[in-house]
Amino acid sequence: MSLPLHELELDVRDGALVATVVGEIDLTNVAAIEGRIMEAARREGVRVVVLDISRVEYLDSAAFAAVQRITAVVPVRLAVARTATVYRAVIVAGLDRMAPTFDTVAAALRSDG
Amino acid sequence: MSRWRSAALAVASGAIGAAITAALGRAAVGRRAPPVDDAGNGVPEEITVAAALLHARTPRDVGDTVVRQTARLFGASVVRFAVRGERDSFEYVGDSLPEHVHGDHAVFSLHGEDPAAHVLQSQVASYWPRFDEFARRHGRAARVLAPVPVASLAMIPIVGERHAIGVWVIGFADPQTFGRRQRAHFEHVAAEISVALERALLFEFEQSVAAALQTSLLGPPALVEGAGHTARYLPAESALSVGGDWHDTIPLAERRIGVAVGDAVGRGLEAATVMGQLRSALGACALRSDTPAAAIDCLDEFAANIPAATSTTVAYAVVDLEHDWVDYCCAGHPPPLCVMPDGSSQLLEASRFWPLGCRTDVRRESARHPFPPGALLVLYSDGLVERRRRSLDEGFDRLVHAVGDRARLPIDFIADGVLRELLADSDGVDDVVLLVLRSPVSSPTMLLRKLHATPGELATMRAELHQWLDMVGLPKEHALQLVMAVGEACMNVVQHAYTNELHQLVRLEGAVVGDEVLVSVTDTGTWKEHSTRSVGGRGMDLMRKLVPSVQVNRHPVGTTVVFRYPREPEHLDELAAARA
Repeated sequence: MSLPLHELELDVRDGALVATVVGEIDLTNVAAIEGRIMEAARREGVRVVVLDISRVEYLDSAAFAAVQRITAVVPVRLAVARTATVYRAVIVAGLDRMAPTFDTVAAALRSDG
Repeated sequence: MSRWRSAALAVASGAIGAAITAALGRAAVGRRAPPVDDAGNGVPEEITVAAALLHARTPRDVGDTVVRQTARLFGASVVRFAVRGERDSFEYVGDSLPEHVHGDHAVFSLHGEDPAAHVLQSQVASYWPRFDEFARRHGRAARVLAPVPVASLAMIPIVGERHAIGVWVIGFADPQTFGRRQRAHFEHVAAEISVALERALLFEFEQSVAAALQTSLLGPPALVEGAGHTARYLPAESALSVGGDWHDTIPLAERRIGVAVGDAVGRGLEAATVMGQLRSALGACALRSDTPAAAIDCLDEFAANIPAATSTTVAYAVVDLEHDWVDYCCAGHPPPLCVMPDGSSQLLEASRFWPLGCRTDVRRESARHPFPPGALLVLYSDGLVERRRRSLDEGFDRLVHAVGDRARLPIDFIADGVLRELLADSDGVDDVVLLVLRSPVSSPTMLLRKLHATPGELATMRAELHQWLDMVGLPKEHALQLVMAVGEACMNVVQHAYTNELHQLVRLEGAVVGDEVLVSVTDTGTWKEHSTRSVGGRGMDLMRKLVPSVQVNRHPVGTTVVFRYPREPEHLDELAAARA
């Protein structure tokens, strides 16, 4: 696999780290993604991480476990649009019960949860 | 086979005949058994028993013979005969009591309370001229005998060279005194029985060793690159006929795979060892030969030095995934079956030659048959298609239909289904070998892919599966759910299945079955730990959430996870809506 599975964009807005993942998350890249998010969250001292997975094409239990580990350190909010490929799977798999879930990044940032 | 078997029987009878002659110290019973009619007329009584025991090969045969012969010889109302089994357990293998009576009491432990156990421990016969005394001491044992009239009872141990190997229970409707003469008579017959039973136990042991050897040689095949294949070996149900059948899969050059099924004549340990030699030799010949025919000719040269290998039959085929064809050659073996992706099937009969060890002056020739993606090749031994009093053509017809009915299913389903269907009426007298191979395919009806069990291949798997599900017409968001579940299964294999195996592969298969899409993930790994965690924890939980039906089948080696997803999953949404 020469093409990278994913792209990760990190952005700090209003004391929150917005992590946008595009592509696929699996065993091969989950540790790298988790590591970069944790490192940025610590460095910036953010109060919350907003994980935007609306443009994720695939994720598995390794990704779920990573979300759980991040949650133990800093609160996580998920942004996943109803039109997102993974929306249905996220609901069925119950990822929305591991972290508050919103339609958009803006909605996640607005929340005071 | 039957000719060989009667020959083997003659040899065995000769040996036991000689042994009994020595035991009786008479010349009356020679190597040839005297003519015995069922009434035993004209033959001294003990000789009748001894002669009948000549024909008893298994412990069960001995039990039947003892019950039949001694009931008549001594005018008994009941005779039971128990034989040592595994771990100090004894089982009544011959019994004049009807089965519904002894049912629960057919097995007892040497260390239990059963009076027969005491007889076995002490190796001293116990005689009960008065059955009511026996009944007072051993109420439970006496109740088993309630359906028959018993006034007197004797329990006589059958003592082998090392320990007690059986017990002979004999009851009488008329009171007996069990005097010195009568006891001597019983114990004399017991000595005859002992000789026959020792031999039968030895024979049974040899057969079980043969079965164990055969089974261990023919473990489930490791996955090979390229095509998908699976194989089954079922030893004959009767331990007497175990041995001789084999299957093998030989990875040749890239994209070429050799598959072989053979049947060495003979039974038991000798056949199993011959099988092992021939199987290894064919594997070596295959690597050095350009065609299946050349490989079998090479095997034939090797077999010339093994007398017992004569008349062995072999079918050997080389599947070429580069050119989409299969080359094959049969040496006296039933023809392979080929099923095309469109469902049409054909027995491959264009290369039919003599078995091993028949002639070496003429070379065999291979034949070629198209083998496009998704085609199925089925190799088997005659035990699958041969039935007594049925024509072989009927057997082939049944095979063609049994395979045809499930030709698009994952290959393990084909193998298991065909065995179940074809062996339903089998008397289990023969070993059965079955090997099924499918070439890789991704079509609107079928999917078969082989992948390396590495994290990097997970994305390839997902892409392949997405593409196939798109072809099948599963809505995209549902396809993702199925892909996620399958991804979990594959991730489990990547992380846990293989510890130190050479070929770490996963087989991904898909089929459309009625209104369901079926996807299976198969590995042949040994798994790092055999707990539910290995296919499990969060991954298993996730699979079950994502897909309505998840089935985990553990094999002796490896695991198959089967997912079923509705092809038109809209009603799932209705269900979800109703739940919410």
